[in-house]
Amino acid sequence: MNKLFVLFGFFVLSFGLHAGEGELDSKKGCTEKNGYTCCLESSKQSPFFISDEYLQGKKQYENFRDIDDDSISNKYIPRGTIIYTPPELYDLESSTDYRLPFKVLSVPNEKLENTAKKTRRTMFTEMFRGKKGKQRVKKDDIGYLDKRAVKSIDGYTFFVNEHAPAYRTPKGTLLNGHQLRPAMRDNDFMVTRCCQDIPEEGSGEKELCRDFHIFQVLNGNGKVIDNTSMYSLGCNFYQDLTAIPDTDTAAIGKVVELLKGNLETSQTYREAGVDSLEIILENNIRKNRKVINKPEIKLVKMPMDDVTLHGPYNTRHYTPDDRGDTDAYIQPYAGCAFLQLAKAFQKECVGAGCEVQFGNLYHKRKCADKACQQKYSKYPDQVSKDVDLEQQWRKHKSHSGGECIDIRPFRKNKDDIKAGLEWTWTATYDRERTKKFMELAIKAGGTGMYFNDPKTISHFANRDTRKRVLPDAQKGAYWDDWWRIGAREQAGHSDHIHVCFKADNPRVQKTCRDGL
Amino acid sequence: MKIILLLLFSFPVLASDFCNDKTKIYGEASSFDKIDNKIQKVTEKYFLPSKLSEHLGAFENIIITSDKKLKSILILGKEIPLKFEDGNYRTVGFNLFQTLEIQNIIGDFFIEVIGMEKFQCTKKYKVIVSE
Repeated sequence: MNKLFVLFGFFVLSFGLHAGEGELDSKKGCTEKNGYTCCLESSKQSPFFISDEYLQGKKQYENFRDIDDDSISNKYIPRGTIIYTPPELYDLESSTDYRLPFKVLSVPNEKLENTAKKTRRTMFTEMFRGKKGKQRVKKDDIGYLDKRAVKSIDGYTFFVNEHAPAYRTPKGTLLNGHQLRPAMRDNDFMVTRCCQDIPEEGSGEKELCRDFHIFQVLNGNGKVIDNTSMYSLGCNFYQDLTAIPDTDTAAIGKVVELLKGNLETSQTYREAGVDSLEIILENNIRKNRKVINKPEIKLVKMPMDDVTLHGPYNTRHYTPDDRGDTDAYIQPYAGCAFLQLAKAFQKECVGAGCEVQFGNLYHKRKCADKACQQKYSKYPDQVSKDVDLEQQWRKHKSHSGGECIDIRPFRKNKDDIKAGLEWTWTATYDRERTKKFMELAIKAGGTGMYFNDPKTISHFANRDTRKRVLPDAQKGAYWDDWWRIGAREQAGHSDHIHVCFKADNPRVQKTCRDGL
Repeated sequence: MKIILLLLFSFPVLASDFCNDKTKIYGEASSFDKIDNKIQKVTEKYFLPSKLSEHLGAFENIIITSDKKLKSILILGKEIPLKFEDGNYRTVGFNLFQTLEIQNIIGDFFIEVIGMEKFQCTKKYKVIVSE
C-alpha cells in the first residue's frame, strides 16, 4: 500500500467535534475537548482524489479494474470522478505496484458520452474509444485504478449541487449552490488534527490522531463566507459535488449563477446547476510521462435543450452539425460573456424577432493541402467538419478555438429558427435591433466582429459612436484596438454576425463577472 | 416561315433555359417546437435563396411549384424523382444541406428541373462558406 494513502483514516475515531469549523487562524492554535486535543496543522495528504487518465491520449476516461482480479478491466471511470480509499481497502494489493484500490464517491454526468454516441466526429468518438462493453462506474463501486491517473484535490473547487438535500456547515451556512475549496497553506492542505492518548497494555500510551481537512466555503463571486470540514456532512454529500478545475471556477460559477437567474423568466429552457453542464476537460500534456499542465476545462457546451435547441436568455441554436450539436462548444469565459450579453439584450429587445440565434461556435476551415485530404479521404463526409476541429479545437485557450460565435441578424417581427436572413432582406431584417445587439457585444468585449451591412459598418466606424459605446476604453490589448471591435465587411458575412470573446480580454472577464 | 414557327412550337424550352417565375424552387426546413406543451416537428417551405449557407437554413426536401408537369430534378449529377402532392412537386427523403456538405460543395451548383413533356429549366445557386 502506498504510504501516501495510509494517513487518511488510519485512526478511525468516533469523533463528535466539527473539526475545521469557524474562523481560520494562521497561528497554530490548539483546543481541548472530550479528551481530544485538536490543533491546526498542515498535511500533504489529499483527503480524496479526482480520477484522470494515464497515457490514454485524448480519452476522457481510465480503465477501472476488477477488485478481485485486476487483470479484468470491465468498467470505465470518466475523468473528474471523485474517489477515495476507505480503510477497508488498505490491505488490498494489486498484481502491480502502480494500481491502487479506490471507491467511487461521485461520478460526473453522462452528457459527454451521450454526445459522443450521436456524432461521427473523431474529436468526440476518440474520447470514448475502447470503452465498448465496459460499464460506467457508479457511486460506491470499488476497483483498481492506476495511481498515475489520480489527482490530488488541490487545483479543484467543488460545486455543491443546488438541488441536492440541504447541506449546512456547523455554523448554519447553506452549502447548496456554493463552492468548496480545500484551504491551503504553503502548498499543503490545512487540517485540524485531533489526537487522543490511549493507554497501551504494559507500559506507556499511544497517540491516535485523525486529520480533518478544512474547506473554504465560497459564494458565486468567489468570496469566502465560511469554513467547514466535510466530515460532518456525511458520505452522501460527495455525490452532490462536481469537481471544477480552479482555472475555470470563476467563469463556471458565473454560468451557474446565470442559469439560475434564467429560471426566473425563461419558459423555453429550464435547466440549471453545474450538473446540467457538459464539460470537456483539457487533455493532459506530458513531459517524460509527467503531466506538466494544470487541470483545465477545454470546452463547455452552450446550455440548450437537446430537442428544441432553446438555450437560456432567449438564445437558440440553429443548423446543428449533427444530432450531438457538436458545433455548440465554447470556452468557459466566452460562453459566460455570451450569456451575459444575451441577458442584457433580453432587457433591450422584447417580443418576436428578439431571439438570439447562434450557429457555429468556431471557424470553419477547409482541408487545403494534400496531406490533410489524404488523411481524411476515408471519411469524406467529415472533411469540412473535422479539419477545423483538428486545427482549432486542439489548440490551447490563448489561441482562437472556441471563442467565436456566429449570430443571425435580428428580425422585425418573427422568430424562426428554421431559416435565416440577410441584411438585404428589408422585409424581415431589423437593423436597429441588430445594431443594438452589436453595440452590446462590443461593450461585452466582443472583438474581430464581421457583419456586412454597410450601415452598421459606417455606424461603428464612427469615432463618436465608439466613444459612446466604450467610454472607458483604455490603451492595451483589446481595449482600444478600434479595428478589432468594429464591424468590418468580410466575404460570406451578409447572413450572420461573427464575434469573438477572447478569454484573456479583460473586458470579456469583466462582462462575465459583472454583467452588462 | 411556317416550318420555322412549327419548330419553335415543338421545342418550346431549351435545356439551358433558366427557370422563370412560373417555376419556383423552395427548400423545406424543420425545427422541433413546444406547441401545446408537446414537442412537435414543424416543417415549412422557404423560397430557396440563390446564395446558400448554413446560416440561412438547413434545407432538406426541395419543393417546386410550376405550371408544367414535372418529373425530376437533377442536382450534382444525381436525378431525384419528384412526387406531386398538394399542388406542388416535391422530393421525398432528400436532404439538400447534407448533400452539399457531404460533397463539400463551395461555390456554384445547379438545380435542373426536368418536366414530363420535354420541359427543362435550370437555376443557379451558390454555396457561401465564411471564414
